[in-house]
Amino acid sequence: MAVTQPSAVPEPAVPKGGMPAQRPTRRRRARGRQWPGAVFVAPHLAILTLFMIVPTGYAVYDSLFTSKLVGGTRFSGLENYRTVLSSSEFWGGVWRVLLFAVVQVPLTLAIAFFFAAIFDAGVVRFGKFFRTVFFIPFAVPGVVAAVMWSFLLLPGFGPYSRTLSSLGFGHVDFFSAKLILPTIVLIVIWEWTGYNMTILYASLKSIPRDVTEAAVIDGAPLRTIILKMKLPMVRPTIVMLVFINMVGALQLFTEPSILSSFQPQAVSYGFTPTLYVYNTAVGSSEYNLGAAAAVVLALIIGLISLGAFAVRRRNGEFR
Amino acid sequence: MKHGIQVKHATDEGAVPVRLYGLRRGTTTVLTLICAGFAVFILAPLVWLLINATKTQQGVYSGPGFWFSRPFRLFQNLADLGKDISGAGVYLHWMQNTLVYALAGAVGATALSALAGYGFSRFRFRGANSLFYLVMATLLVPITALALPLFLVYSKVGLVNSVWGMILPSMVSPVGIYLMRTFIDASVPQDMISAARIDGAGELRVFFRIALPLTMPGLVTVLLLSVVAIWNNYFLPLIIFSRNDLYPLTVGLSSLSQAAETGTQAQLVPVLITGGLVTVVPLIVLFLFLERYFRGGALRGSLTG
Amino acid sequence: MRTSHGGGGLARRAITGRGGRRLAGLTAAALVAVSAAACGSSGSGAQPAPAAAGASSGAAAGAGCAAGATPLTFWGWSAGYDLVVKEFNKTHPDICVKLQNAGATTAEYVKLNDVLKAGNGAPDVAQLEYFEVPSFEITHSLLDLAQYGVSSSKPDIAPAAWSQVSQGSALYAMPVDLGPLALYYNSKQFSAAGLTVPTTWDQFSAAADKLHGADPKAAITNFDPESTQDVLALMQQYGAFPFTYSGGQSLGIDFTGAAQTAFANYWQGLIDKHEVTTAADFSPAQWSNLDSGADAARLSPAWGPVGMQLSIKNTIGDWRAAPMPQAQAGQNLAGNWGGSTLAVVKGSKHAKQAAEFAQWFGGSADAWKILSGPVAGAFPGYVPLLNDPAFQSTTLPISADSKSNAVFADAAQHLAQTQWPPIMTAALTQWTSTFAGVTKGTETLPQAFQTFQKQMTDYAKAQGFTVTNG
Repeated sequence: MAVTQPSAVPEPAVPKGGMPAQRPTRRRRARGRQWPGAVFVAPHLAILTLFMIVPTGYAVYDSLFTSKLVGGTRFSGLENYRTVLSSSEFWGGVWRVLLFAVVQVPLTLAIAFFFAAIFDAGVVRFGKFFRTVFFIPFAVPGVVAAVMWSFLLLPGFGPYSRTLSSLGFGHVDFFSAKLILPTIVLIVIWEWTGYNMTILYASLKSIPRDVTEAAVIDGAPLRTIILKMKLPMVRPTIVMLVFINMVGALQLFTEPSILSSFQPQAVSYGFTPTLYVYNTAVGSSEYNLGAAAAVVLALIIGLISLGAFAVRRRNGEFR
Repeated sequence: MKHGIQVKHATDEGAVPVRLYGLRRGTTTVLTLICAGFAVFILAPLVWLLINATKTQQGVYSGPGFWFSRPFRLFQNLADLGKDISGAGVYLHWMQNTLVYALAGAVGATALSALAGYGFSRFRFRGANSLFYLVMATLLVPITALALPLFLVYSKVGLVNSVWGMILPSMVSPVGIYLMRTFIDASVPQDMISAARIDGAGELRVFFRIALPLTMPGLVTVLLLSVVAIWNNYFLPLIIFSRNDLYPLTVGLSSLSQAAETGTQAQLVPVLITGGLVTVVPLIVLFLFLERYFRGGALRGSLTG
Repeated sequence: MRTSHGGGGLARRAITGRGGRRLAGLTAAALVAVSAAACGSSGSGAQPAPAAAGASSGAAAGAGCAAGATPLTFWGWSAGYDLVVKEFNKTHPDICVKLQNAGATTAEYVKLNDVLKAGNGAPDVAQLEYFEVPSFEITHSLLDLAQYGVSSSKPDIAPAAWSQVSQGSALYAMPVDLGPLALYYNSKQFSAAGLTVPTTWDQFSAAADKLHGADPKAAITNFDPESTQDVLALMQQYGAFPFTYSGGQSLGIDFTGAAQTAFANYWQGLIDKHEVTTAADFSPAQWSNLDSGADAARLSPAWGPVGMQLSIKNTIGDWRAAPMPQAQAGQNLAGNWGGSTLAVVKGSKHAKQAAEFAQWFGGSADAWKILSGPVAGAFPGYVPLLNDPAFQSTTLPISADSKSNAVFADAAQHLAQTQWPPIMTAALTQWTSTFAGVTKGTETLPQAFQTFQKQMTDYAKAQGFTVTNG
């Protein structure tokens, strides 16, 4: 596939109708020379199989059994799945992360795109400095980020809490049932905006300059150029980012688990599905039930992701 | 609105002269202020971390959040990290482990991702699409569910408490494969490959001499992402290591903070905060160092002509 | 539409250009770093201060072992254990114990379960808290120490500690330390409010009324409904311990019996009247409450004061210890919060030496000299030390020259019955969520007890136990 639109990491905007001259060549080559691809893929696949696929298979297999402290292990078929699917705790967690994802992902991407666009357009001073600063949270592990924010927001003792109450907002409990989810949204936005922005920026930068110049010469205002011209051109990148962010959001675990060590009543057993898996498999030694819950969660996320994949396939991503 | 149009061949930054956008004079200032506000939002917790790593537990809770308080205990706190509490391990040893795991794992991940990305990108072999989806699908499984089976697999192949047990799985990077594949799609023209093949070059040769050099920015990206991911990995080493001299920083510091809760020196908070600081600082330094290359290279490799 | 002209130029430029050289340099640097790290030594002079004694390299206490000594692996996490292990290796040159920190409390138990399931990698000796011992007993993972003569230590160990690790004549773990509870009160605040030290729970709630009546901002103590072991210790002392278990398949769970309901109503009453605070245990809120007079007392375990004096400022020197209030006048029962044992894991290739180590660790004066010292600060289940006048007379700044240890030592010898069930891991995990409502004020303690009763009964039944209620 020729480079019809030069693009940077990680996502080229591939226009429809590539280079017709290419196809006949490729078809001639289609037979016989394709198997080396498998050889290239093999090393990764070997390690993937041993360290991901085999344990996953094992976990799925285990989910069909039940082990008791008294009475050993027995085959129980889909019983664990029935337990999970009828658990209000589990579904509560599912709805919660869906709500979380629906708020956090568009918000993060909107902010990221906003900054990426204005940096790309060069309408901000010290753009390079800001871009570097915004990317720094990526170097901070989720655990440390959650600990920092927990201290900052600790009711009554954290600097942010104390500032708010001295400004007249009273005693704001960031870990209360009403505010805990927005608090986590805030933390995750802090963690991930820079990463998303960097990728979007690189993608915007790959739009040919003359295209932009033509639009400007035509008299389009900046907002129109960004929203009506550039945004659609980086759509594949955005779809990929939606996928990555969404999977991360639906698998939310670290931030609530750290917050719960600061304020135990803020986070329940099944606050998120992954927490449910952890508390069941590890916390309650009900490993088989946890495995079943993990499978259900993976299926839910997989179904939702199929949507994103379908969209991208329509765009000509995966030939 | 349309001022004298000067289409300069601009540098990478600010490709189109600002003047041309017909913005009001104040807009740049407003936008800059917005960026400054967001920068404060981003930096504040890190500044807090730095300042509070110099305090005692008392100081953290009762002192001013964003300014220092007496006594100044940064070096004491750092020394406490290095202390050996109940065999919990020495901090520098963990840092060493983290470096080994992150660098070895990241180099491996980059190599495997490049190979596999190339394989998926430039070859249409049977089952390629399904395999690709399979690789991507592994992102969906939460590792907490894999803890026990992974441990059992390790036990069978003798990888428990082994350094390779940490490095090998770190080389699996679906995101890395995705990035390399898209980068190769974009930067390595098929007809170059075909030309080389006609010239008689073997597949490996084509890969190393033609494809790989063209994808340098992609390689660096995957390297950087992998280093960060492995550096910050907590669950995998938690599951597979039961010897504290094998722990990376994440698990080591967590075990240290748990140990800090017991005994007479129960000053958990400074350990937590200072530990967080020392985990984060090397990576930030790495970023600032690599960032110049990473950004410049990405753009240079993309603009033709 | 650009053509792919640039392809050739690109390739040429990339190979010779700075891009190629930079990556080579990066890889080289990476390789150098990896090899340097692999060969480098830890604990180098770069550290700002010399590490504590005993830190040779990452694995403590590996050094200094005689050749030919029997190697033992010991999983433990508490502060000061490395010093004790070092002492043992010094005085027992035929045995070489290696201390590994495989995680603290539940983290270690999960790992221990994993290695037992996998069939290899288990340590010889493992630190287990009292409540976890039955969970490993029921899977037959612990060796009976009686066959190695460890029972000879029985007279030296507090009776309640001993009974928690024994089944009939079998002994599954060697008790080490304890955490008996006492009423730790702010004597200045008490006298200012005109309170006498309560000896029964009725007197305690009367004192709470009086204190709160005079100062609406003061509460008599903190009660954290989500702190599982704290609540269980109080229930134990009240005679309302909710579990009965003596091995086997039958398990008693009772959160709704007469004693338990009385307990729940008692504390809920104090919560409703705002005469107790409900801050999380060990949170800054709790310390601030104690230091400011918002809480006048703490139902503190024996290891509490040492940590407490690091976290408070204003009231250092004002605190005194007294026996816990009793459910009935004239009784002398105490509750226990925390404490560990050492167990020998099945499959150990050196069971005899492991048993010897465990017995020495919990039952020798030498070990206790270090365990009760400034680093470990453990409170003994070791009777000779409990009865030692010097130990009982130790003072701490937080309590001026009063002899709190004497009170705690007496409590240690009067612990009420506990029979831990083999389902404590699940109980600890699930407790927090269930009792969150009590802290938030959206449900009462009795209600939470009812919910938890059902939860635990369902869980135990699913695990194959025959559950009796009460």
